[in-house]
Amino acid sequence: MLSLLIVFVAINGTKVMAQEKQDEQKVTFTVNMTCNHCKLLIMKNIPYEKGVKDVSVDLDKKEVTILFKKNKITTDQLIKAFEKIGYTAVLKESKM
Amino acid sequence: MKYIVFTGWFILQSITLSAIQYIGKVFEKQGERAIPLVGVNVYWAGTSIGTSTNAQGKFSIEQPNPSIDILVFSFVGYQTDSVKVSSATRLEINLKPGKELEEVNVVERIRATQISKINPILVQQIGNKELNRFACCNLSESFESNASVDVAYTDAVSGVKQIKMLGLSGTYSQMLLENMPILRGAEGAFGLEYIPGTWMQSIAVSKGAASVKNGYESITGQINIQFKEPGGLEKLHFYAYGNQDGKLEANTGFSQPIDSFWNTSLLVHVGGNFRELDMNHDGFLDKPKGQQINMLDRWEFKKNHLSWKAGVGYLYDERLGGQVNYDHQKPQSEQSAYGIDINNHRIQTFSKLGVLFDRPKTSLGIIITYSLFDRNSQYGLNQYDVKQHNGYINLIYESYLSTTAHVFSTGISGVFDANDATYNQMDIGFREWVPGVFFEYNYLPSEHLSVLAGLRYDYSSLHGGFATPRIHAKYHFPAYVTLRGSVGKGYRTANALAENSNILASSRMVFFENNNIREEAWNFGLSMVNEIPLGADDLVWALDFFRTDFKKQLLVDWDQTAREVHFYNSEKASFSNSFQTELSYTLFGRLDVTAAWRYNMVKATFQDQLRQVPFRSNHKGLFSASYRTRMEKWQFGTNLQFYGLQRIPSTEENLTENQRPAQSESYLVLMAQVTKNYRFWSFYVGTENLTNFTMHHPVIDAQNPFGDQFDASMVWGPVYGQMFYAGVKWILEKREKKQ
Repeated sequence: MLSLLIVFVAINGTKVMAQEKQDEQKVTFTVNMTCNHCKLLIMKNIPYEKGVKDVSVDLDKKEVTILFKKNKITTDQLIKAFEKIGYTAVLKESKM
Repeated sequence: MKYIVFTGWFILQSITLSAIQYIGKVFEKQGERAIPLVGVNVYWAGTSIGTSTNAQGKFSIEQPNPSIDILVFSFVGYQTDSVKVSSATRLEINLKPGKELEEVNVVERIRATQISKINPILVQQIGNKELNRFACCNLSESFESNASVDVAYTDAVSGVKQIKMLGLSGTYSQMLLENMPILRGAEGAFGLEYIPGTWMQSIAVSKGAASVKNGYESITGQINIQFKEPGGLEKLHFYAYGNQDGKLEANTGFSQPIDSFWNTSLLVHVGGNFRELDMNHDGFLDKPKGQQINMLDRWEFKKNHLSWKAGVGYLYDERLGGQVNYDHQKPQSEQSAYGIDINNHRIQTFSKLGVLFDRPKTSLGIIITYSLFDRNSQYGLNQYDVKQHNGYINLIYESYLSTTAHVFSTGISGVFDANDATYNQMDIGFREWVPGVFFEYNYLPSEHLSVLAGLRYDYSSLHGGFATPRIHAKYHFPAYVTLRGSVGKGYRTANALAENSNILASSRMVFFENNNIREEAWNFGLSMVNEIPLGADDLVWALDFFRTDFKKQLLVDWDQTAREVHFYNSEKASFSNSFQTELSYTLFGRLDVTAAWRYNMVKATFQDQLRQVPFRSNHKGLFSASYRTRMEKWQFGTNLQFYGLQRIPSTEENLTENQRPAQSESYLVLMAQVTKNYRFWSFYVGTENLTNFTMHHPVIDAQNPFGDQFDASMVWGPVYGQMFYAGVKWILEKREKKQ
């Protein structure tokens, strides 16, 4: 079981390193979050939006960086997803 | 090699030297005065790097790296505050009273299990993260990754599990629900299964003598359970669980704010075993069939400095076990098969009132609880019935003397037990009323040192007056090592049959030479927690030694003959030495690994002979690992436990086929679980006892349950083999109110 776990960790690590393919886009939003609860709420919702591949929250900078599949979701839809859970997200940076 | 080590050391030193030191003061403003606050938790947001304020309310903390720049200040009874730091200026923090520490803040920065650096008592906090790692149907399954607490079946037929701590029976550790004593006396036999896992927010396990505020009963330690609060993050949840053995469970919880001051919640658990299972083909059900219904309605009021919590709960538990062909519709007297019928009802209610005063660290609390537990049980021809009323009141006043470096708690308490118990028509119950007073003083001269000294005096209507002294000291060496020492006394009124109900599942004659004696023991403890920076995280190395020395104990003597059990009072040597070491580390940021080893030496004087106490493992090993993917969509957990040898009471008088070895086997138990998380849903599958180790023929003379050699109580290891389970969780969280 442990060896299975280690293999999974290694595969998962490789997957993370191999991210940002051609059909993917990475964007950074500035979000009006104030506390750890906001971070928890964002991490419990945004990763489950269709097409979202990776989410990282920087509470100190009030920034959320999202890697997503361009043909599945748009930045506007992501902004709406933030609105649905009570936050305002402003696009800060976008990498194709 | 030396050169590399030296270069590494030099780089580390350079990093340390270049780090910025922040200093400051935390206080509470009262008019024009600034009252320094002592023991305030100061830490960098998102990390476990922290310190606490000293006697003058001052702190000094090093910035680990420039990207970590938010300092958090938290203190129970005060609003948590945080500041973004940019330059090494002196910080002046004015904390405002009135609001308790938000649980969510704690969850984010702590490990799944962590030991507080501030508390003078060695307390291991098992958080929600840990509780979700495996399917915790109830409290008895919440300690799978905890090396300090052992959980085992008491016998091979009733499905009852009990805990052991420091090598001693769980009855010597006090069980608390949010600081209210629970599962006392007759309830103790089944109690762990009456705390559904899905209701729990966290568990605090403290080893050794505990605070005198909660009474005199904790001897080996204390387990304090925190339920999900009505005002917490969850709005609605639904959990369902099923396993291949036919156990099905459903849990639901709903919490609702009434207005800005009131919150309420309703927690409901229904479950049961619905499959007749006899895997070892001995004619006995491996687990009793049955059902359990458990409900708790909670109310919470918070306004300014006043808080009130109350609840009322009802429980029904039915277990139908014994031989497969036993007809539970008919009485035992009308059939030749052996049957077990257990019916338990419980009503419990509690009220907790807290008032915070304007003076720092000053509060008044009143706790009142009442429970009625009604047990009707029949094991073959043995009948054991109990009706138990338990009342408890505790009034606690907390404040400080000259400065907040000298904090004290004082109060009065009262415990009432009316235990009307009959064993085969013999009255073995008792009534006891114990009023008491206590005073506890906590000296906190700096963030490093904390001394907690407590004394209480209680008067028992059964046993007379007795004093309970306890002292704890902690010293935190900058920056990694925390040392603790404790000495304390504990007492409890033993309840022979309620605490050893497994004996009922045997033909042994029970001799009560003493029944409800007051047990008395000293507990001594030493511990070291070392947090060694290693890579991106700290390697936590904990080492502890505890000795429990009984001055008076109700001994359960299985050794006189294989046909009898004797309960008698002993004032001769009886002790437990427990030594434990534990290492935990987080690899790659998300792989938590824990390895632990414990050695127990538990001996008592049985008929003038100092012998190892039966059914106690001398060694226990634990290895656990859990991994969460980056966005926590997948979780994996595995857990391997090793149990060493145990002494088994002699069965030499039995026929050869009914004899068992005088020593158990050592064995390994492996469990694993995979969880897939969705936005609101989680699905999990797992397995218990993957190594498939089971005792051979746990029921002695199963073919002849009314013969004098029948014994289902000699259980030292797993009775059930490999088992697969699956479950689903659905959680709807409350939305945060925008400030």
